[in-house]
Amino acid sequence: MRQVTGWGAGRAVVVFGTLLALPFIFSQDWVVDIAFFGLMYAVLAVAWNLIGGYAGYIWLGFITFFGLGAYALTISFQHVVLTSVWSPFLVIIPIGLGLAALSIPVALLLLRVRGATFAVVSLAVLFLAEICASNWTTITNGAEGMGMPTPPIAASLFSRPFYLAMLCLLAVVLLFSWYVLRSRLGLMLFAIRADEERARGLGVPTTTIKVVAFAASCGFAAMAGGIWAYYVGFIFPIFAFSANTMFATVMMVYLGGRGTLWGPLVGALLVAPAQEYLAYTLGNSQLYLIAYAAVFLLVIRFLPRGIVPTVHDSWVRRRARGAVGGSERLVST
Amino acid sequence: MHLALYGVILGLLIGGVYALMASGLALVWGVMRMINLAQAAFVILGAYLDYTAYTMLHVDPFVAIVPIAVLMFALGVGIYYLFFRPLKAERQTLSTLVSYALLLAGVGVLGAVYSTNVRFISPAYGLQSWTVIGFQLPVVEVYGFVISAALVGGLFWFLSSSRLGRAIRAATQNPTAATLLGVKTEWVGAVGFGIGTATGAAAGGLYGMIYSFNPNSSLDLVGILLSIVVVGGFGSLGGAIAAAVGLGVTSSLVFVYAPVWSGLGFYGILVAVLLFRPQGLWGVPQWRVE
Amino acid sequence: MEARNVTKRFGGVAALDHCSVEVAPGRVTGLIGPNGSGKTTFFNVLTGYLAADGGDVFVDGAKVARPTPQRLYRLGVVRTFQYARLFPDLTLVEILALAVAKPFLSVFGLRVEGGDRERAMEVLGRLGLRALAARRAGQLSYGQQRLLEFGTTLMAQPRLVLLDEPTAGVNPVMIDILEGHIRRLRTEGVAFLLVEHQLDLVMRLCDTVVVLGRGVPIARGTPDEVSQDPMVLDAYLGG
Ligand SMILES: Nc1ncnc2c1ncn2[C@@H]1O[C@H](COP(=O)(O)OP(=O)(O)O)[C@@H](O)[C@H]1O
Ligand SMILES: [Mg+2]
Repeated sequence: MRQVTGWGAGRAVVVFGTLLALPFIFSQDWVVDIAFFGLMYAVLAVAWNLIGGYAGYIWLGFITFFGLGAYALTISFQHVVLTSVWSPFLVIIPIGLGLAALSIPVALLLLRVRGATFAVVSLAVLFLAEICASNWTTITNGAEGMGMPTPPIAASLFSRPFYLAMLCLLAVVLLFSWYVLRSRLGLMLFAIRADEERARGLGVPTTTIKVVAFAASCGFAAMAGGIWAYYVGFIFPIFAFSANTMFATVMMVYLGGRGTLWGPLVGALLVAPAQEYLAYTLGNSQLYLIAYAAVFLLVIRFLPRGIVPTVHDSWVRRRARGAVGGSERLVST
Repeated sequence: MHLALYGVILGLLIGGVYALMASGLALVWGVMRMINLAQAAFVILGAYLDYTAYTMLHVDPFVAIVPIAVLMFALGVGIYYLFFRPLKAERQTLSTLVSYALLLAGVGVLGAVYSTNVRFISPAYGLQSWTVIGFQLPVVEVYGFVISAALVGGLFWFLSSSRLGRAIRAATQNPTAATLLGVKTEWVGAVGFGIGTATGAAAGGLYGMIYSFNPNSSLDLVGILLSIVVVGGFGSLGGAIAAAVGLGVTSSLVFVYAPVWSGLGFYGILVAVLLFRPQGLWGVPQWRVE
Repeated sequence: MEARNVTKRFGGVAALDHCSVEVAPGRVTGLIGPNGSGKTTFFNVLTGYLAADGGDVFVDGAKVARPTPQRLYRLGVVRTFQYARLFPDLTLVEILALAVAKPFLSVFGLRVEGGDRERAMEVLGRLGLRALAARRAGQLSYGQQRLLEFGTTLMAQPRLVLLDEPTAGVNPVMIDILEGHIRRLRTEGVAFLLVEHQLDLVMRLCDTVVVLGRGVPIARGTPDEVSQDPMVLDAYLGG
C-alpha cells in the first residue's frame, strides 16, 4: 500500500512538472508572486504534518522556527552587498540544520506534556518568540524590523528565483515526508499518535522518535522562513512570528488531510493562492482571518478527515464497484 | 524596597482580575478538558462592549458589566452548541483548534467592527487614586480587584452549594460516573462554557478600565492566560486563582525593574513549571495506564 | 527477575504495600486477588509505567535504575494490557513488526523489513490469524485483538512475559491456543507472571501462586496450598 508505485512516482512528476513550468507559462510577476506563497505554505504544511499529522502532536509553536529562520538569514546578511541572487539560498541550508538542532532542547521541554496541553503550551512559544524579537532591539532592531540587501535582478523577473528555490525546498520536504512514511520511523510515529503508552510498552523509543520528527519539521520551517525573508526583503516580528500564519498552516493540513503524504500540499495549494488573490483584490483586511476560521470550522464539521483521504476512499469504493460490474459483464458474455 | 512593595501591591490588584479570567478557563477545562484559547477574545470583546456601553449609552462601566456578563453567557452557550458539541473524534485537540479558530475570528470581527485603534475606558473617576500609607492606589484597580474577588467567590459558592454547580463539579471530576448518575454532561458543558465566557467578559470590562486595548490585545492575553492555567494545574480552580495572583505579582515586579520584559515574567514561570512539575503546581498527572 | 518491597501510593492510599515477588526462568507465577487489589498497578511498576514510591526491581540480580517501559523491554520484560490496547489503523503485520526489538538506527530503515515480515507471518500463522495479516487491527474482533496482543510478546524474544487477564473476552478455542503457547515458551525458559481470574487455568498452569489483598501479598505457594488457605478464601469471598 505504501510502496513506490508507478502511480505515486507519476503523480510526483506531473505535479512538479506543472509547478516548474508555471512561471514560464504565466510570466506576469503577480502570478508568480501568488504562486510563491502557495509553495511556501505547501512547504510549511508538509513540514508541520511530520509532527502534527504523523505523530499527532499539535505543535502550535512551529512558526517560531519560520521566524527564526527569517531572522537568521537577515542577520547574517546585514552588512553584505549581494553580487549574485543565489548565494543567500545556500546559507539557508546551514540555517535549517542549525535551527533543527536548536529545536531539540525546545522539544525536550515541550514534550513533557501531551494532547491539548502540548498544543496550548507550544503556542506560548510563538508568543514568547514574538515578544523577544520585538524587544531584543540590539539584535533584531525590534518592532521596526530589518531588511535584506537587494539582489541584483531585473524587476520583471524578480519573483522567479525565489519561486524556484521554494519549489526545490518543497521537493525536498515532500521527499522527506515520503521517506518517513515508508520507514520504520513513520510506523513508530503512527503508533505514537494512536496510543503512546502502548507504543512505549513495545519498546518504541517514543521521546527520541518524537524529537526527530519535531526537529525535522522545525528545520524545514526555518528554511522556508529564510527564503520568505529574502523574498519580502524586510521583516517585522509580527509577520515573522505570526499566529495567523500558524493557524493557516494547521488549517491547510486539516483541509487536505493530516497524516497523509499529499494532503497538506493539496490543502496549501488550494487555500494559500486564494487568500493571496483576495488580498490583492480586496486589499489586506481583517476578513481573511474570519475566512480562515470559517474554512477550518467547516472542514472539521463536514470533512473531518480532509480532502485526500475522503477522495481516496470514494475512489477506491468506486473502483471496487467497477471491478464487480466488470466481472459481471465478463460472466454474461 | 518601597518600589518593590508597590509593585507587589499593584500585581495583587491586577492578579485579581486575571484570576477572574482564569477561573472561567479552569471551569471550561473542567467540563470540556480543553483550554479555551478564545477566552482571550471574549475578554477583549467584554472590554469593547463595556466601552460601547459607557461611551454611547453613558452607563457606568462597572454597572454595565452585569448585563454584559448575561449577554456573554448566552453567547457562550450558543457557541458551545454550534461549534463544540458536534465534535466527535479527537475531541480534546480538535476543540483546542476550534477555540484557536474562534480566537482569530474574534480578532477579525473586532477589527472589522471597532477598527484597530487603541481604546481605553475612562470614566470620570478613572484617573483618581487613593493614597494608603504612602502608596498610590488607582481607584479602578481597587474596585476591579474587589469586584473580581466577589465574582470568583460567587463562582466558588455556586459550584459548591447550588444543585447545578454540584452537577458541574461532579462532571468535572469524573465524567463517566457523572453520566451514570444521570447528570446530563452536554447541558453541563453548555452551562460551564457559558459561565466561563461570562466571567471572561466581566473581567474584560475591568481590564479595559485598567489597560488600553485593541483587538490584538487578545493575542497578548492568550499567553498570559494559558500560563496561568498550566502553572495552576488544569481544572484546579484554586490553583488557577493562586497562579493568576502569583503571576500578576511576578510580572508587575518585572515591570518595575525591566518594563520592556514584563510580558516575559509569565513565560519564565511557565518554563520552570514545565521543567519541574509538568502537571502544574496544583494539578495531578493526566495519564493513567490500565 | 525480582521485585523487592515495592510500594506505590495514589494520594494517601497505598495501592501496593511492600510487595515482593520473584520469578524464575521457565516458571509460571500466578498473581491473583480481588479487583482493586493492586495487580495491574504492580504490573505498571514492574514494567516501568509507574515510578514506585519505595522498593526496587531487579533483573538478573542487577537493580534496574530508573525503570522505563523501553528499558525493561530491552531487558526482555514484556507485557500485555488488561484492556486490548492496539493501534486500530495499523495492520497486523505492522504491529508485530513494531514489537521486534531492534537497534535504534533501524528506525531509518524500511517500515517493515523482510525478515520481520516473515517472523510476523509465522507468529500470525501460529495464532491462526494469518489470513488477516493485511487487515487493520481495528477490524479484528475483541478476542482476536487480545490474541494479537499476546502475539506481540512472541515477537520480542522475551525472557519474562507479564499477562494481565489474557483470557478476559476471549473464546475457549483461543484460550487453548494461548495456553499452548505459554506451555511451549515455558519449556524454552521464558518466565511468566500471570494475572488471571479464571482460577482453573491458574491451577493448571502455574508453578507458584501469589495472592494479593489490598496491595499486600497475603499468601503464596503452590496452587494446591493456596487454594486451601483460609485467608485466600476470605479475601475472595469477603473481598
Ligand atoms: N493511576 C491511578 N491513579 C489513582 N488510583 C489508581 C491508579 N491506578 C490504580 N489506582 C487504584 O489502585 C487500586 C488498585 O488498582 P489495580 O491495580 O487496577 O487493581 P487490580 O488490577 O488488582 O484490579 C485501585 O483502588 C485503583 O483505583
Ligand atoms: Mg487489573
